[in-house]
Amino acid sequence: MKHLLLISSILVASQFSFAEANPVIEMTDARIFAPLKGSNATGGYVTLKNITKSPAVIMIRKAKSFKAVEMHETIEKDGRMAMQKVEQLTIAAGQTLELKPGGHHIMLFDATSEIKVGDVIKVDFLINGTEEKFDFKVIDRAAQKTEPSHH
Amino acid sequence: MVLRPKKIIIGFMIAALISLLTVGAVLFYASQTPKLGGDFSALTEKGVWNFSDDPKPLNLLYVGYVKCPDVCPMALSFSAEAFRQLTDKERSQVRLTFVSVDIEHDTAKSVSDYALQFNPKFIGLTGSLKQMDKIMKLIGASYMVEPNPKSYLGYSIAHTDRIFFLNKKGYVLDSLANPRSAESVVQKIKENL
Repeated sequence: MKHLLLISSILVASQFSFAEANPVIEMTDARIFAPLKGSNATGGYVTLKNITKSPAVIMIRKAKSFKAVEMHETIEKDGRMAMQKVEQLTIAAGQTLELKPGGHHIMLFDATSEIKVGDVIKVDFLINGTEEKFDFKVIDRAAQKTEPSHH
Repeated sequence: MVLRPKKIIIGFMIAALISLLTVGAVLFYASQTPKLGGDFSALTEKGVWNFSDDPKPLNLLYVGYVKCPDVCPMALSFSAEAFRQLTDKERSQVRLTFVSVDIEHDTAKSVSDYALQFNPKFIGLTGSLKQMDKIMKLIGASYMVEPNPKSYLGYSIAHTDRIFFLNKKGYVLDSLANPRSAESVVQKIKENL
């Protein structure tokens, strides 16, 4: 049993070091809006670039200091804006996907501690089945500016 | 060329008729009441709130819910930024009301707390199903509560993503669909003030 645990630990550790040594996704502009009083949910955004020559499948697992985290997409349906949960995102080789207001986004629920502007929240993703943590900076929601165009 | 008196009189009559028709058309359109809008009531943390109690010359209204992480805070953020860009005089003539249609989960206090964080003058409202339905019908908005068992929240609310601009009587003068910048809100405010 001890051997099994040891082997599992080595395998997990080697997976992490493999992911670090061979990154699949490059994340930029990762940010989470500081939760607002009156609401138990907030949003997060990031730009994801697949820097490999194969498709990348991305799932979200957990975020430090929040009870739950999910990926969602805002869509227009019957003249109304609706949200639907997205289990995973696939980014083609070399392509970039921007999670931005009005489109794909991250939803975080029920902060377990006070989240302040300037904090950094670690968010766990599964990228092609391998766990990776990324830092998201907490920014002020009420001071949200017009999203810069990347086109 | 010499005009005969008869022709001159006919010319004057035609000109007078055109002028009368033009003035009549202008007066007719000016007296027309906008088709959408009117007075309505809802709840603030202080109690019943009536639109007609203290309306501004221009009243912005947005429908959503406080657990919305995306389009609602975006509309409120851009509106708050738009208000900052107005002159003091313009700012004194406008107000924004955020109406939460999540009547099952949001309270008058939670909506008020939420709205005030964007701008200390923003008003957060909610109310009964009857009150919400009346507001939706008056301004031409809609919403639909959708069960979402796969999500932690368990539901989401699809809603109109539009800022409505109401005059002092509550009639809809204009609207801005999918507000995605403060500048677009400023422009609409200036056009309708």
